[in-house]
Amino acid sequence: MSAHHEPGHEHGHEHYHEDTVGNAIAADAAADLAIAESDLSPAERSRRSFLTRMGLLGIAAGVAGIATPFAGAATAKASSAAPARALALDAVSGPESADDVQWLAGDHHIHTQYSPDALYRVMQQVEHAKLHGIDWMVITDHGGVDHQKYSVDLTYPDILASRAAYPDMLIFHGLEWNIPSAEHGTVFVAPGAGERDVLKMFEGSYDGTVNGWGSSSASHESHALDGLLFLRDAVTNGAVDDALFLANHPARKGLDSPHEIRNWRDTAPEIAVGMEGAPGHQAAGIPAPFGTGAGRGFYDNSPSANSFAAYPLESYLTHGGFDWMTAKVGGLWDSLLAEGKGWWISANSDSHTIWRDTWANTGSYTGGKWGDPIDTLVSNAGFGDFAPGQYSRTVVGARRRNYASVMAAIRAGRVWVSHGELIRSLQVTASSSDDHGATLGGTLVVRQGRDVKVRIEIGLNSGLNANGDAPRLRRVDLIAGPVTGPTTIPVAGITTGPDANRDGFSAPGTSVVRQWDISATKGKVVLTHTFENVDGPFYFRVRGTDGNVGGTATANDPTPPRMDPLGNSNPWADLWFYANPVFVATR
Amino acid sequence: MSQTSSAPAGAPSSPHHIVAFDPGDLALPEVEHLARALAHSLAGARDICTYPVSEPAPHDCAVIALDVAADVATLLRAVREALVAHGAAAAGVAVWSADTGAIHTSGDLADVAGAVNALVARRDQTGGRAILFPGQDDLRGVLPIRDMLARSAITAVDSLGIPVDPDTLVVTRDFVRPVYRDGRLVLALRPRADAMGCFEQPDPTPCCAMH
Repeated sequence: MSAHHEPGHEHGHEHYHEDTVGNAIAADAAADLAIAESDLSPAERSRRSFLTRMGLLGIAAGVAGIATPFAGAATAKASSAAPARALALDAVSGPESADDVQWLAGDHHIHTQYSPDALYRVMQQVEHAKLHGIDWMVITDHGGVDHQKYSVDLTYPDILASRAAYPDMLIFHGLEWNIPSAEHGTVFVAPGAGERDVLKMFEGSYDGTVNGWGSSSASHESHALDGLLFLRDAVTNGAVDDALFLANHPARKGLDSPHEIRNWRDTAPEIAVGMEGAPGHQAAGIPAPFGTGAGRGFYDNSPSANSFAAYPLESYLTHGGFDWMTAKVGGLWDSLLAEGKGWWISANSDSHTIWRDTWANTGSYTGGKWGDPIDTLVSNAGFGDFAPGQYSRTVVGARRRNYASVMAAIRAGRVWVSHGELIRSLQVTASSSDDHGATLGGTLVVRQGRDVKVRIEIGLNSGLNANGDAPRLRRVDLIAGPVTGPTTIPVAGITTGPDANRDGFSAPGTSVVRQWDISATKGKVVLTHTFENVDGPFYFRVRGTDGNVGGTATANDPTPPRMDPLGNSNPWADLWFYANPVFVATR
Repeated sequence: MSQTSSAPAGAPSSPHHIVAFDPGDLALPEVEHLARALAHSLAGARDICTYPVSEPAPHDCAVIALDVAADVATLLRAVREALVAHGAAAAGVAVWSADTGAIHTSGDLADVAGAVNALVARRDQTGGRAILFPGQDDLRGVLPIRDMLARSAITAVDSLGIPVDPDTLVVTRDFVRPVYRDGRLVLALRPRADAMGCFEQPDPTPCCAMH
């Protein structure tokens, strides 16, 4: 990467457009071998043909210095004994143009009365989500013996009834998987005849709690990989149309080691696609007596014998509401992106019990279910969560408003996330004279020496968010780093074995390369940046903030988020958005 | 890491003995309970630490530093008997003596490795989380860092890079768990709204909470 600019604050290049600029969003369907050629537009077919000729797809991907984020998926399927079947069933007929992408807000981490520590009926959570502008949602009650035995079957008719009652809402059936040897994760499948049975079988065979595989060990880690392969095979065999896994609150207790994350991703890249960039429970830091006065995200733990020992203490805290793996520039997330493989972030509610809500459990949690909740009319400030969409949003660029398209968009990384509705819309494109463009999660392919133009179009929020505030975007940061291939960064104490070079969690070449102060308060902001004379593969990503609070500058980041203080972290006064990366490959 | 050290008051003298045991698969609160009971039955405990080990499965060992000289064989036997009395018969035990510098063990080889690692970490002050240490009872309520260092065996704080000074207040919640690190007993801190707090909290969202 040759980026002719200085790190630090830069002002200018801020243009205001009151009207929508009709900019092509080049979703990288062409690079996604999971999308059948017949589903591609003529332009995308041409691009795929080009990528294939350049050796950028399939098993030759590594040769070009950057794997497309989907190359592993194609490889894995090609070597599978099962007949190849399109994993990402996007629209039945391909979109004529990438302009067809519509941005749908969602939440893949929501609990109901089928979790021992949660409250609401499925329909209530759907109504909460609808109230807060959510388009798609995943019901993810905790894996466990009772959940596997009873709750999956009990949840399913509730989900069917909710789908019937709210046909505009895309309601996925999933679970919160106790990942063997690790943290929790969202697993969900596409609706269809097999959705309930696949979830139930998966949970029975691979849940860490059901099977007693919770503690950290190599053998337990292998069960996690087996579970991901089960999901992959369930799709290739046609038991379900699609399945996805994302790691939840990954740094909370230090349980998800870097090599585990790499192993999940590399074992089943079409299934294991990302992690929560921001955990739920964002109301947990609201001070008493107005809230629980705990840690934001309930991130109040310390290292244990099961933790990855090399993680620093600050990884156990949230940073501006985000998980350390995502918030630390040049940290774990960047170390994955610097390998040139896709690994995407999301932001969800983890909604169990909603801050200041008046509803309460009845009965006891027996047979995998609480009794239906009742409205006590008394507000409970001890609840630490928000409703789906009330604070956190995972916004995906779907080609159609349907289940398959939402899953395909998540897999493609066509995703940005925000807190407190800091912004209304975001479109990020990279283009050059010899490639028409790529957007979030995509890969732009350019000849060495070309300039790469970045265009960031942000729809500002001139209205009020769910707290009744008018959120103000005050700064946008462009973050970039070279793609250097598989990590070779050693970690203290881990010098041998297959994981010796898979436990790196730093990307020293990644840094904030440009910052814009934003003065506009309504309409659209267009920011542009040019990476001149690019000489190697790299990636860039974008984040923005209301600028209310910040942390101590680091070598990679002049204005990092603040480590959230225990006992008093007002989530509404510290808002961020993060976008997934765009890769640039050189030839 | 920001570390604030106390004024050099001279390194504390070495304990006479360090006793470590590996209780096997036992939850941390039970390991702590067992270690406190054992320390009570042995005279002269200066500090008690827990120490995480990963083999054969992740769990915690315990280490007790003693200020009273004793015969090693007698000590090993006393530790063994106390553990048996508390139902931890299979535990590996290791004892170090300042006089000889030797480490003596009792138990199967596989059982003593964790105890030896824990013992060595405490001896070299490279690891171990102190659940009991000199001055701990004086660390209550809200205290400036200056007083915490003056009143206890804690020799430094780690504030995660957040600027602190000796007058910075620490909310202890009457629960202080420093760790041995690089030859020091270091108290890690985490930010609170108007002060710092101890990094380890008395009531973290529980390990097995479903959240």
